[in-house]
Amino acid sequence: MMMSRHTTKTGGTRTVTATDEWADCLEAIAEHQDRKSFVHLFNHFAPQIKGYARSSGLTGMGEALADELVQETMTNLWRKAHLFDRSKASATTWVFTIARNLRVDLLRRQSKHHTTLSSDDLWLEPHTEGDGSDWVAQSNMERQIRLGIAQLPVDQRQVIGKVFLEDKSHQEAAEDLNLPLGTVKSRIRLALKKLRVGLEVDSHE
Amino acid sequence: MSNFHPDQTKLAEYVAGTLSYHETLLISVHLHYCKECQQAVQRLEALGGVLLDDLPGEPVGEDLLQATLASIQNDEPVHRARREEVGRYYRHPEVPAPLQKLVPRGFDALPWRKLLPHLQVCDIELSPQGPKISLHRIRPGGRIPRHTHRGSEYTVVLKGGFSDALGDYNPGDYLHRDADHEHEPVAAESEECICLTVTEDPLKMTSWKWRWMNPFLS
Ligand SMILES: [Zn+2]
Ligand SMILES: [Zn+2]
Repeated sequence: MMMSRHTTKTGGTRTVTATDEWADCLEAIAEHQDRKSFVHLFNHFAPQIKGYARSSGLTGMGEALADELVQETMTNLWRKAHLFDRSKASATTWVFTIARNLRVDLLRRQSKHHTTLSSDDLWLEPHTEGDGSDWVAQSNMERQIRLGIAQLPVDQRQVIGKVFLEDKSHQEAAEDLNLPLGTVKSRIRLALKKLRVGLEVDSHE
Repeated sequence: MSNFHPDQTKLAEYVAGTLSYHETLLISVHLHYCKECQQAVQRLEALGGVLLDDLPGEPVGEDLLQATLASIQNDEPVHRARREEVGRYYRHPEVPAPLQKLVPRGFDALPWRKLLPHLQVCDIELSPQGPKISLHRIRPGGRIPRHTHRGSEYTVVLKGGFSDALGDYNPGDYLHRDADHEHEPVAAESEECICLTVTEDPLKMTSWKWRWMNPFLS
């Protein structure tokens, strides 16, 4: 397992060449509850998840919540490793969705606002069996996104970071940046278009 | 196949987990029907992953690793079989997956309440504060009197279809109507129409015949 590292970090952009070493770890956990792989994953993702907890406002309620998010996310990776499917998402993407869901549930618990549905009901895994999306397409898409982000103008990059990793609605992001809501939305639209991650049809909303 | 989608900035907020509970539910239900938005969500999640990966990490104490290892000690990873069990929970194919817990015995078993001759309503998630999450059910060919909305109204069609001056809507279609938008929806003739609706404030009837109804539309 993990005979070679296939990822290299160069100046903030990472080039995925052949495999996803974190996906290998998840599969090793799913197949034989490999604790070594788990520690490997922990060492890589725990600091990122803690960084995410901080940027997304969890630490505003005390440092303990950030550690709780780290521990819960990592425990979930262990428990749900069987559900990971590398043809649908990279390990990094999967970790992001798990951390996001747990963050939402943590915040909701803190707010004591009772809701019937939990994050697992609201962010269901899409049933996109056999739609041609595969591992190669996935990693190509991720590479495109990484390259795209590096080329985004600073103002669009800033808005995208705020929207995804901070606990901010677009309205709040606009207030933060001292910009009209319309400007924030059009920067988001521009950035999504450049990164080619948005909706390809008109919304007609 | 849906023709009316949420704005993509909304999809981005959904993926980031920053939308309100009720808006998250609306998007989640729309996704149940819409392949394009599902694919956009997949791409947006990949973007989230890349951004997470680029975050400067925060130091994590060795004790947290030990605590986490202890918590998985006797915890076996979930097996694939468990996932199929989850699938069996969904007994009513007409009810989209995100609504199964709120409509566990199907649409017909809900305590519908008659609002107008052709229109029934049922609040499916009651919370003292915030917007109301309800289902509306219009009889085949039923016409809803002209009205505006005192606040925003979000709709996702679940069954059947309806039309108003702006278009024809089918299952999965996502609509957002502002307070100043006035419309007069008519259900398709072929079958009843059921919609998920989130209203920030009660509807306000503008057609003179129905204006007396306003105090009751809460
Ligand atoms: Zn859509
Ligand atoms: Zn209306």
